[in-house]
Amino acid sequence: MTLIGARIPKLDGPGKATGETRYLSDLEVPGMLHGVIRRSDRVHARIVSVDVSKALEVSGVHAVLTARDIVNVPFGHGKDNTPLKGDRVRCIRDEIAAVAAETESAAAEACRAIRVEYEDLPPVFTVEDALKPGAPEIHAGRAGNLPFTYDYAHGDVAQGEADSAHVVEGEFVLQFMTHCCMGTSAILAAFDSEGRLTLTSLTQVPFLYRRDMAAIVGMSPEDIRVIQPPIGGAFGSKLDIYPFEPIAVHLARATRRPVRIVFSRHEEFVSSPTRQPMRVRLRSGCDGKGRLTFRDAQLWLDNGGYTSWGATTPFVMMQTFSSLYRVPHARFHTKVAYTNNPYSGSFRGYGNLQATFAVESQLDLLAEKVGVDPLELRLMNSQETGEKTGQGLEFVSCGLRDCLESAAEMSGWRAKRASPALKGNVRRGVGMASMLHVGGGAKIYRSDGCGSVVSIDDFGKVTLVTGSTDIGQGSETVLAQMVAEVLGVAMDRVKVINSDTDVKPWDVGVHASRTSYVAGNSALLAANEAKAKLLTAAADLYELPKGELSLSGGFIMRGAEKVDALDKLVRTLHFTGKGELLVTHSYFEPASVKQDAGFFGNVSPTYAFGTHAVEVEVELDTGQVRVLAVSAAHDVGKVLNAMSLEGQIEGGVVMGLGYSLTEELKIREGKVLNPSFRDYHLLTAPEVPPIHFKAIETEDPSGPFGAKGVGEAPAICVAAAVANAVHHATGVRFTELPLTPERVLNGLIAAGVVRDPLA
Amino acid sequence: MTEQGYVRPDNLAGALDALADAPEGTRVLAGGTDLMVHLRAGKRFPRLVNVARVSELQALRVWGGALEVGAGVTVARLLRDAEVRRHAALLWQAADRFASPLVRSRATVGGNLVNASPAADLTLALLALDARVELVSRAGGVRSLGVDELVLGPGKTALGAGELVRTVRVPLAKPTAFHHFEKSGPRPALEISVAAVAVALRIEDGRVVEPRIACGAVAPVPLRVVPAEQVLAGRELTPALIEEAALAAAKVVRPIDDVRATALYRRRLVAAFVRRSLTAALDSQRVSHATGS
Ligand SMILES: Cc1cc2nc3c(=O)[nH]c(=O)nc-3n(C[C@H](O)[C@H](O)[C@H](O)COP(=O)(O)OP(=O)(O)OC[C@H]3O[C@@H](n4cnc5c(N)ncnc54)[C@H](O)[C@@H]3O)c2cc1C
Repeated sequence: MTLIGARIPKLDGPGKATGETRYLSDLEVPGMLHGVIRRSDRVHARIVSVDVSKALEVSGVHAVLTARDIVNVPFGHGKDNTPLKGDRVRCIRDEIAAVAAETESAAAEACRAIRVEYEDLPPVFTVEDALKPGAPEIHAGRAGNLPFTYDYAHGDVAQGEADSAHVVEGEFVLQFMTHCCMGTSAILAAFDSEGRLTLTSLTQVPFLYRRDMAAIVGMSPEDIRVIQPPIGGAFGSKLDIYPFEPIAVHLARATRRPVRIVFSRHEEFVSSPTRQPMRVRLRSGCDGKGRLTFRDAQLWLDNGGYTSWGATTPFVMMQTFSSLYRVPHARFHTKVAYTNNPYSGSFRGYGNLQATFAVESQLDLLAEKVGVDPLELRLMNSQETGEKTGQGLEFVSCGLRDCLESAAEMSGWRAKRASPALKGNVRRGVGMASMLHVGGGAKIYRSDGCGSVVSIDDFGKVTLVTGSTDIGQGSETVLAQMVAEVLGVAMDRVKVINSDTDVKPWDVGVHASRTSYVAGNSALLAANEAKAKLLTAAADLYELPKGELSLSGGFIMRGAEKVDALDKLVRTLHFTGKGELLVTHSYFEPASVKQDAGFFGNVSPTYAFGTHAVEVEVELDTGQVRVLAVSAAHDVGKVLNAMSLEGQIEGGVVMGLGYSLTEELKIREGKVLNPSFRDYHLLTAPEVPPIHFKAIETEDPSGPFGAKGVGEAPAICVAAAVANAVHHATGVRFTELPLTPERVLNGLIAAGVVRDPLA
Repeated sequence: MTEQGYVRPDNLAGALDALADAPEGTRVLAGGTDLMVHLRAGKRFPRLVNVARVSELQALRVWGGALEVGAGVTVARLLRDAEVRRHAALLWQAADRFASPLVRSRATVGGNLVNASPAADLTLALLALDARVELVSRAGGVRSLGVDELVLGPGKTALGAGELVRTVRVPLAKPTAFHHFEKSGPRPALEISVAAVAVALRIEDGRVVEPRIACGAVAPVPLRVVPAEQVLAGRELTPALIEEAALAAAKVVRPIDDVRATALYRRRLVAAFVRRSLTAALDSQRVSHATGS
């Protein structure tokens, strides 16, 4: 192997670094109009009237649409959302009207000129209030504001309690966080003269998107083509369809012009999906030695005004409650309730940051009760390769123990843990946490597969057409590497096509850390078949034993001897009357199963593990937490591209640190208080600590070259490790994020660790 | 913006002319790091007078017993300048905690003063340093104001029609001077202060002389906490005195709750920062005693 594991720069890197890449917001097509959406001013109200007459008078306006002008088809996981809202608004994002105009400013002006008359309805802002008897009903016919509940159990929690020497119990509160993609939400909708629709879209799931969009806008899916341009970040935010997308289609249809909608940054903060906020009540137990006995979790999720994927995060969270370390008895109950807050979508980790924060915080509490080092307690409960968990997850490879030990070693755990450093106003501490996540997709649909086509042209150029989608994570590069490796050609001989549903074969989409694994295996199948075809052809042509031939450096080789150049062989196949094309295709379906009604089953063909050890410094007089270093060890199966892997880990760690320390979309009474980068605090470069990374290679037997997915993994256990480190430093346990200076200082004062500076 | 709405004079006279004949609401455009934010938020100005080419606003020198800082001097230039560090360490420290390299390379002293934000860091340092601000106009000539006379409220200044800030004059620090700047922020860079404290004082014969303590982001304007200064003046610095001054400062500030922090937290920060600053003063005294200087 030559390319696998190498440091290979991302193929899309130079274009992005030089500014040459054209994003959707750069794209203009002839005749294009600009769409702008008029949103609600209220969080819960009846719409009494909408007067668009003034908007129609604005020069340059081609169409103004309200719910009355379109067939408003309900959509989404709860079928409770519609493109435009006609009779009622339920959250601050709500789309009441949309304008298409010659310029964005004309469209915006027209939007402002629309008069909406409301009659306020009693609002609901917390899950507790939403679930109270007699609470205002947010969706008619959805009694009790309770669209979803999830229940899972294995073993017998009562038995687990009986077996426990120590039990800890607590509540954890997790905030709204938003993706902060550098490229804001956008779409371009264009009909051609035959009525076919082309959507240039940032979607992560182009094929499901075609199907769902077709239903919303009343078309056949085959009449919709999805083009996926380069994208300025997704992180899960583009996994669902949001109202602005069908609105663009309706505007294009009404105006018979291409229509583009690009969110302003303010709109992006207010109107794009968030990480699911929640309250988690958890009980965990262990025996006298520290062996886990049970976990009992109850969760309350704020669904907001409508249902998107946030409501389904319990699917992922329950895996962590049931299977992160050996848990003989586990129970999980979740209520998802409508409120008049913004609604959440999918976000890197898919609930797992929240679940892991609770689980891993309590592991430290248990270790304290037992009187063992948190590392020892974790090692004691860590699974091994070959184990099957209570939920039926099968760990065909498991590097958790290695991750724990490596993270501890990189961080200088034992020495630092022994004595938390004290230096006047500053205290230091170290903490750790691990994570478990699907590592090869998740079978939530009947298929979790991906198709590939490999072709080699008569100049020896290899083209991989993959169903998968690159949202910046680097799948294009890694897939090219795999194909190049099999066919024995240089990276620059492989071109990846992955952005047009008229061309590429089916794939579920980019989510669940599945692309390297599923699309990788799929590409390998097709590449290996192409290789077999080439070798057979060469063997026939040159009358050589096929078993002695190989591909390397662009040649068919027999040992160290060049038999023929790849391109020449392909040309021969094309031109010597045989008329054979070098095209192969494959469909890879992972060996995972759809879980049963009780959520049992091996939902992913393999699982990713990781441990982070974090060192922090806490300033006692201000409550300021500074992260000094993060030591991250991840079971990645096999390193495919060392450089892009590091990038993925570092990006994930920084995202996790933001979640831990600074990031919160502040919502009060349904409104967003900090819709700008001034007041929504992303970490910036100077705050990013050194990140030490070690890849644990468990060589997964089912993974492409042994690899498993790590897309989401690095973000997941950061917050728990930070909170554990802060506890080590100060003795104070924080159960609410983010750990802002103010929250930490309040906690330190309440615990009597420092005296109130005002006292 | 129309053509006449934007002018870029080549010298001070041209700038004053452009301001003198200007419609109401006309603004000077310096680094634009505040103005562009206002424009983005939908504010409109009938005319912008870009002073980038006005060399008379670029002075940075020791002159007549003071450090003269042109209104157009950027934060980046302050940081590079050895005289600033020597004669006005407090201003240098404020510059050091200011935004990111990108913003520092454009943001100016004049813009920081006239934007009149309660959280303006340079303004805070200049207030503690007892700097004088020189204003010029075509009609009125030159006049000079203290920082607290210039900055009247959030976004409000005593700047008259047709006037601009030409220079700021900072008295040179005496050898006995002690300067200390503290600023909050979960992010060390790129942070609008939740609270900031600037302290300038002298220690002569073991006693505090002319203490000036200014607090940022805890009142409608950068605020001198006079009762805390009175606690210190003429007294010997001791841990007990520091405590007393810190609490006095926290008592007089008038912070508000906003999206960044609560008033209570801001008050606690003021106490913590005054305590830190004065403790540093005490420590520096010990060091100078120990080294015999
Ligand atoms: C990302 C970011 C981070 C920031 N961080 C900080 C920070 O850490 N600390 C801080 O204090 N500020 C910060 N700011 C605010 C801003 O950078 C400062 O206030 C800066 O000093 C403004 O200077 P400017 O030259 O950019 O002013 P401009 O935006 O050009 O002007 C600001 C105001 O001053 C007026 N003005 C400018 N020069 C003159 C003059 N010579 N005479 C009369 N009026 C004049 C303008 O008309 C305008 O009203 C930040 C801003 C941004 C965008």
